[in-house]
Amino acid sequence: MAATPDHVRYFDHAATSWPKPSGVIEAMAHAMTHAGGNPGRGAHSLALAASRTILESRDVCARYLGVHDSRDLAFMPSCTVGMNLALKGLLKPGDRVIVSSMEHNAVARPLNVLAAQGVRIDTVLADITGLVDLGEVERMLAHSPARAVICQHASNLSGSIQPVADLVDIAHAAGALMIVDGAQAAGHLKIDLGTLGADVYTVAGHKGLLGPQGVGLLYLAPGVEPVELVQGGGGGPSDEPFQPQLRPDRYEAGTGNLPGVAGLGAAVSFLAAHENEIFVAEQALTQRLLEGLEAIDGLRVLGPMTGEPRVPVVSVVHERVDADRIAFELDRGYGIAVRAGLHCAPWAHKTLGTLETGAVRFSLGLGLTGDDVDAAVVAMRAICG
Amino acid sequence: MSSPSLQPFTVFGFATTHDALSAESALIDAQVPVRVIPVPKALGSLCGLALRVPQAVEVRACDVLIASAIVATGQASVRDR
Repeated sequence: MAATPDHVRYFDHAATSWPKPSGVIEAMAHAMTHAGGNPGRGAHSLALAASRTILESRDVCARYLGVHDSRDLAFMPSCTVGMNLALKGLLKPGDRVIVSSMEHNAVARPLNVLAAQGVRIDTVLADITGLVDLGEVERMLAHSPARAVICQHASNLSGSIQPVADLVDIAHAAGALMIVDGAQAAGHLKIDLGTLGADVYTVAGHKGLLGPQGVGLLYLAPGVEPVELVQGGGGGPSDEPFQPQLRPDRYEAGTGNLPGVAGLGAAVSFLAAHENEIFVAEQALTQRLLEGLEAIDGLRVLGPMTGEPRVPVVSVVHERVDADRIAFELDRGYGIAVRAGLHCAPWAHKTLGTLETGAVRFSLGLGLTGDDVDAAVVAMRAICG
Repeated sequence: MSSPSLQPFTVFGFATTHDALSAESALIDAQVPVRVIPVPKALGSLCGLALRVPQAVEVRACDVLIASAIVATGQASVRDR
């Protein structure tokens, strides 16, 4: 583990995990130092080393996520880019989609663009804990056909874990695709995409997977073929006038982020080796934080009830002290890093009734301790007292 | 005219770098001697990677590729050092 400055207690893992596990920075430096060629371009030693780095990282990520054929996993500049590719590459004017009201702007904004082009967007409201009503999704699909159901796996605001396996079944029974935003789930929940059955699943590399920024993953089930957003070089048959349609090249035009991919591979290897202990520690710390915050007068904890499953995200709203003020005080007075505001998720805030106030989000991950959690609770008591 | 010192090899071409290097890995695991080379002209105008194996192990190499579900998009015989 890289050293954490003493003055920072980092509770912003849902934005970006930090610090990174041992081996990530080293893998990135190694890629640039010893594998500095262009992956897929050329057969000289440095280009081959780069290409092998990409292959190994893809295979590591595929094994971790339960993807049987690693060609179905494309590296993206981010989870957001992957989601844009899926939505814009699969939907066309006249299509109808059903989307949860808890989605992040990575889903909401491209959908708003598509709506202006003639895609019909029907929203299924989540309840006050942030959970989507499966029966309502079934009713909406029974009312008229849809091209896709779109839902996050876990909320970046409430920590709610959506019943995506059930949604997959419901969507497929109605002939719809199931598109899942896994940004807040990967690395915090056990994910087996081969079993889950989602048609599209997007992943952020720099959050729960503990990799660097600038790299994400797009899983496309066999037979799901969105039109690629970008065309260009890839190292394959250069005389073809159009983008080759084979995976993964179809979705990876242009030189990729080799250091980022190398770092992600190292991070996922670490995660795979320590997954159980990380999950247990995260859940214990989250429970400890929940109990501490719930005891503070005037503080509303968003999301699932205590004891219900959630990813390590705990957002709160105080009845008198503004969210931005709390975040400022935590940072300046106590060295505690949290995120206040709308968290790029205005739909979710509207659903939970916090669109006007915003919230303070504590998101937990590797490197935090019980002492950090206790310090956060003590600080919150002082600020909100 | 071929030099007497040149040896016969089989070269496999692939549609993607991913397939070429996955095939290399599978062949190494199966202890088939293999070398990554630039795609030779004999396999078209590809600019990617090809795999070269001694012609004596061509059948075994093909079996490994089939077992690994990796499709070679081209195959050629060459003589090389």
